[in-house]
Amino acid sequence: MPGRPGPPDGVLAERAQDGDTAAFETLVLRHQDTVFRVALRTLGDREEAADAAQEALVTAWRRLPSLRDADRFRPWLLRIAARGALDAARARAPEHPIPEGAEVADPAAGPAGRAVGSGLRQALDHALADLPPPQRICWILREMEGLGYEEIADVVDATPTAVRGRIHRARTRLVEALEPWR
Amino acid sequence: MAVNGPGPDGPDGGDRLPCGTSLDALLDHLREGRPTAHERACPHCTAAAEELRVLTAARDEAVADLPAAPPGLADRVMRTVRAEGRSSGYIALPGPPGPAGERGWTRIRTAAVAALFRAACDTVPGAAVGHCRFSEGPDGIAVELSARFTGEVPAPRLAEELRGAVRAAALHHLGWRLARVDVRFH
Repeated sequence: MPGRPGPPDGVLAERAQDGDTAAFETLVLRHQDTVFRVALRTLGDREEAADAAQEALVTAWRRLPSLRDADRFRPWLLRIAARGALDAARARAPEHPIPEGAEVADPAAGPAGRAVGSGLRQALDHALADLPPPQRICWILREMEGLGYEEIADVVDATPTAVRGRIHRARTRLVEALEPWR
Repeated sequence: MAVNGPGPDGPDGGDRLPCGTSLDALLDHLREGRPTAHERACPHCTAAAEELRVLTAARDEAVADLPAAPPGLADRVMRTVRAEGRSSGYIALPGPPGPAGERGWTRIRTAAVAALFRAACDTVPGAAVGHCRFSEGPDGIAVELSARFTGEVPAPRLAEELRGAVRAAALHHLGWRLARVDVRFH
């Protein structure tokens, strides 16, 4: 869990279902970074990812009353974000395909980002961009966002066993792609 | 196809090493810099760790520098959220007697009452209250709370303390005597 203090997600989600906007704001602050990164991985452009993240969070507010299990707020939100980003990518004009390597080519990463953006890091980004999207999102949610298998299964609408398989395959392909760095 | 054996489609997603160690557990221990004695000595574990060394290093580097949401995103979201709000019902409560002894009625938004009761519950250590819902019956207004444990206080005592806090807030701020306060624990 991100290290923001306050009641657990389930409590805040229930309050937000009842109309408590302050509770929803805490959820937004807690999860906006992950929502943004999920969108950025798919869209590869900060502006578009920010728009998609905003849309996802507002959509979550509107649909929140239909969420049955408030304790599963995070995977439910990330699922909205992942789908929204995919729709935005598909709706894009064909002359602007999804950039390869997503964040690598991002000029707004800032000096700190560039300083530590070593060749190895870039190689990982390229290798991730080459993965089939279902494998990519599962690996990223597990290894970079710290979600458990059950949660990821909720996000991608698959069984935890299928998620394990995808992560295993992603890992194998990533290890192969990074072989020259050994 | 082997359903129960190793391999990416088995229950372990192919991540169990021949020595029985789960690759996931190994990765977690390596991430924390605390491999077990077995993992340090076992040839299967050390080989797996070596094979994953570069990927783990790349992952660590990327995680140390993850992009954050742009400033202003949360504000933009919350502007829309507050503008839309959520429709809330009303509860009618009897007002104080007028000069001629007549009683008026005041309508109050249920969301405002829920906020008041939740604030009262926040003073009870050991629980966090999510839903706060109302129903009006022949005996008056009943309240249903959903609560999660945040400490070690046993459920019966916690429920009693939450009921007491809500009843006191209702009486003190609204002049209500509640018919019932139900507490549902998750």
